[in-house]
Amino acid sequence: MTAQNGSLIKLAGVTKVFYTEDVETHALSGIELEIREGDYVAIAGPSGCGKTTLLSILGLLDTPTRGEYFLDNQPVASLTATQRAGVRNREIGFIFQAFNLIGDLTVYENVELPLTYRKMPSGERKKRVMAALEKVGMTHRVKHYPAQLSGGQQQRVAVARAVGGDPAILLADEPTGNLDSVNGKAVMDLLRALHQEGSTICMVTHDPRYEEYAARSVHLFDGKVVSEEVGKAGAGPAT
Amino acid sequence: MLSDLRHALRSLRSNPGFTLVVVVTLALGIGGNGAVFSLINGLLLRPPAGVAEPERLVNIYTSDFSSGDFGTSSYPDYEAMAVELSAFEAVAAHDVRLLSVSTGEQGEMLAGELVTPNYFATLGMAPAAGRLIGAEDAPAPGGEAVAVISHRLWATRFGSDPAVTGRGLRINGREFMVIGVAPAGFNGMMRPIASDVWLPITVEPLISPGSDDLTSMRSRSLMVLGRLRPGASLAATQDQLAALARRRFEQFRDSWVTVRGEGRRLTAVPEPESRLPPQIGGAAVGFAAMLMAVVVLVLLIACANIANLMLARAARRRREVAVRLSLGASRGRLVRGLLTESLVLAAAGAGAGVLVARWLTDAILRFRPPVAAPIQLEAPLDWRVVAFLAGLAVVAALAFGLLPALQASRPSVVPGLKGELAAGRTGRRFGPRGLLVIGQLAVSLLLLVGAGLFLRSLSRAQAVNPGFDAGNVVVATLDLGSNGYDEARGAVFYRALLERLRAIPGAQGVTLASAVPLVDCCGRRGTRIEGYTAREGESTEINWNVVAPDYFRTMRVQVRQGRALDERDRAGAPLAVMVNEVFARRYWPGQDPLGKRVSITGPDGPYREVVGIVQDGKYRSLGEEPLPFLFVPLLQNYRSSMTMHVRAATDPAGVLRAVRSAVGELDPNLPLYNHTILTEALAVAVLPQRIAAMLLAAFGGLGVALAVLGLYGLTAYGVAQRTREFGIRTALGAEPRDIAVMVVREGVALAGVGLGVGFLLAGAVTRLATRFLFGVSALDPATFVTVGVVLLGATAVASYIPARRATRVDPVVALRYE
Repeated sequence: MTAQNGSLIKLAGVTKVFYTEDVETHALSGIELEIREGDYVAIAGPSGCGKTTLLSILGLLDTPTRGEYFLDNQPVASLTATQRAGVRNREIGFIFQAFNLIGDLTVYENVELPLTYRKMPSGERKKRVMAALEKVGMTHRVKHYPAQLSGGQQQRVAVARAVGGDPAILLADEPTGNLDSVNGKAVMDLLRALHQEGSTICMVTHDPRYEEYAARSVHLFDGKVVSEEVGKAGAGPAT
Repeated sequence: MLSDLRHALRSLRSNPGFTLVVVVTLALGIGGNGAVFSLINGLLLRPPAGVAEPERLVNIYTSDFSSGDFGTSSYPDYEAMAVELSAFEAVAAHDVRLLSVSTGEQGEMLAGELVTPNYFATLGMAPAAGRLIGAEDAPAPGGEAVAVISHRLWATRFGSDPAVTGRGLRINGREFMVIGVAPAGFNGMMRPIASDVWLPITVEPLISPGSDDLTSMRSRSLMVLGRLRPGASLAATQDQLAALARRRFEQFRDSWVTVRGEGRRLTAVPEPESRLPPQIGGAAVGFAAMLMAVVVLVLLIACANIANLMLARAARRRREVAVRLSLGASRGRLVRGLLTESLVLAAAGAGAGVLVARWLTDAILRFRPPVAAPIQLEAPLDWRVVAFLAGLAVVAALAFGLLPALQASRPSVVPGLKGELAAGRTGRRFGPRGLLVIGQLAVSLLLLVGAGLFLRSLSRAQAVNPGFDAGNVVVATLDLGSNGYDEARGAVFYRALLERLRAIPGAQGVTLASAVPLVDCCGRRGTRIEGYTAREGESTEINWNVVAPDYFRTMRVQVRQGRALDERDRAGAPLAVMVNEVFARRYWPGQDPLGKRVSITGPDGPYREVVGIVQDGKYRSLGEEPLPFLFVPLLQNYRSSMTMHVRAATDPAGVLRAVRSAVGELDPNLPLYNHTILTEALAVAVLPQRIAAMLLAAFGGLGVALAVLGLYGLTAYGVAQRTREFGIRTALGAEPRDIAVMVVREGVALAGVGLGVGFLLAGAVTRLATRFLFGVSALDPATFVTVGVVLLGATAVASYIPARRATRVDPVVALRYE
């Protein structure tokens, strides 16, 4: 999608204000952020600091009140809802804290879902789904339903769903938040492996242990970037 | 129990929208059932008012010459029954007539009965005022004739005057003295005809001069009823009847014979089973059963709808139920509490349903079928109806309340307390709620297919060529005998009447006929046909009509051969007759029918010569096979009751008014009845199809509305439950259109299953209605396809509205993790 190490995401003065009756809440204030291809960025900060709002804007699920957002050097503000859906489908892979697998679909169908929205032929879909499940070690569970899997397994399937479409960036929102430490670490190892294979990852976390997996940490407080640390790429806790 | 009731009332009060929807839905479902059951009760179940021990009453029928077991009897036969049937405490007879009744002002045609002196005693009846007819009321020569009047007539004509006895009443031109009033609600023993006057049968010669009804065994118009002795069995009665029938055949071989050459039979039917004449009883019971099935199905749809609402409510109350379970409530206790709510709702629905039922029955009772006889349908709200509605309410409460109560009380305390949905698959498509919607749609399709079939029947029936042109023809019936005319005076009257009618401006054709085809048709006569020998068991009873000159031109019936009956066919001239084409083909195949002869008065004649052949037509019903038919000239066969037929050039209503004036100028006391425009009177020919189509369309429409609402509710509920899923799909790149298509597709798939089941159901069930259909198959593909497409369209719309809501789900909100 971009030249090696080119700017994939650029936020310039992004502000998000929520209005509820008479109350005006500034969730984000003048955020400046750049993510390059191959980056592994952690967005950290206390609860309520605006991490998830930022991730929603990055994922085109929400729009900033002010400021500009460039994805692959293209402004996204003017995109229609349909165009935004297309960009989400092709360029962005989501991993949620609550896994958000669809209970009525099998593991295979869950991973296949974004590809069906892309109108991909079924043969190609099958190849991609199996490859993604292979990556996360879940090929033996293709016919299972989410309720039949452990939390760790569900999150691995969610990761497979996110990478199956070969997106430009993975957005992970507290991916270990619903997992015990063993499964949390396994998922983080999986993300690290994906990063090492070339994936660009932006992860929201409030857990300092997992923040260390990222090469760069951006700290938010009250909707503002208060600090940024660089240089811990691929470190993480000892395995 | 009281605490359950208190809690149920409080819970329902706090959800007024839900309570209102359920009560209204139930009121419609239960009200429809109440209305139909009230009518069935009034027609079939309710014993006759004022009759003592009706279970000991039986109706006794003499088999007809060729039309089955349930015929009427002659007076001599009745006399034999009264004397020879020892199993009966008493045997009485009655003969229902249309009588011209007046209390001073213009006469009115009312149903009345000529009754044997022991009629009221046999019924065990006590009068509301005065006394009832007894043995002392046989009129001595020159003595005063007496009458008993109905409670209704007493109220409407005499203002319920306690001193009504001794007042005068003019019946068929003769003075009668009122001696008493029948008990309230007693309409005679011939439902649904409502009699208003009862006269001793011995007055027959007074009201029908020249009648031989009291002496002839060929004149068969009496209904006979008997009261069994206490303890007497019906089987023993049948033995006595069979023995009497054999004796009658031995004694009266000429008149006690059937078309098969065998003796007639006597059949006793208990009063509860013969409240409607057995000839129409089977069809009426079938029709009533069909209507009852329709309203039960509508209630079923309503219950499914409510069950769906209750299931949705149960899902929302999981936390409350979990709290109760955690506090130690047993599952049985919870189910009881939840069922109490259902019972309270059902009771409220039944209460409102009574109002709906009253409104519906009032609307139905206002409908007057275009038939000659005074029909009185009654639908009293008696204990049977109340018990039925109460039972129905309990069954409905269980039908819509039990499954949700069991679902709601499932012991899953922890997820319930945490407000989590149950883990695992939602099974949203074919879970209990989906199955309910499938059932609703299947039943709706059945109802709509039924309505469609009857509408198609109606359309086909209306397109049938009856063989005459009813357009702009005005008809009105008069009975000269009811005003004391004998044949000589009557013939003079008819001549004068025809002259006056011809003088009406705009009258293009004027005639008289004893019967109106498809409306009030026709007499039948055992006919001897010259040159034709009937096969063993073949009936040669032929339908016939007595007509005045100009009948065929007025009715635009084509004369195919020979000439029409006219003024030449008068008294004293050679006896003439016309037959239709079927008659000529059947009895004189390959021969010239003109000049052939027939007798309608026995083998000894006189024989009448065929002077013309007319085109075939429909006489008794639109669906009949072509019937052989005879036309006999009025001038050679006097009838006291005739119907005027006048073809108007442009304004039939104006001509009808002129016809009434013309009769009034000739005899102001002569009542007219059945005066109408023929096209309106012909509506009776398609009455069953019209009623069925109307009711099925109404109830089918209601059923479909409920089913589509049910699908809408299910889809809307599903959309609300799946907000997070839609958020996920949106995050993964689904476009709004993808979400909408998915939701609509799921709704339509559910509907498709429902329609599939409905098609199978309809294919099996509509065959039962074949006897009521006309010119259309019970599996008519056009009806099935049209109904399927309409329902599928409706369900697509019902799914589309929530689908649009699904596309507006904000993924950020939907995915916010709590």
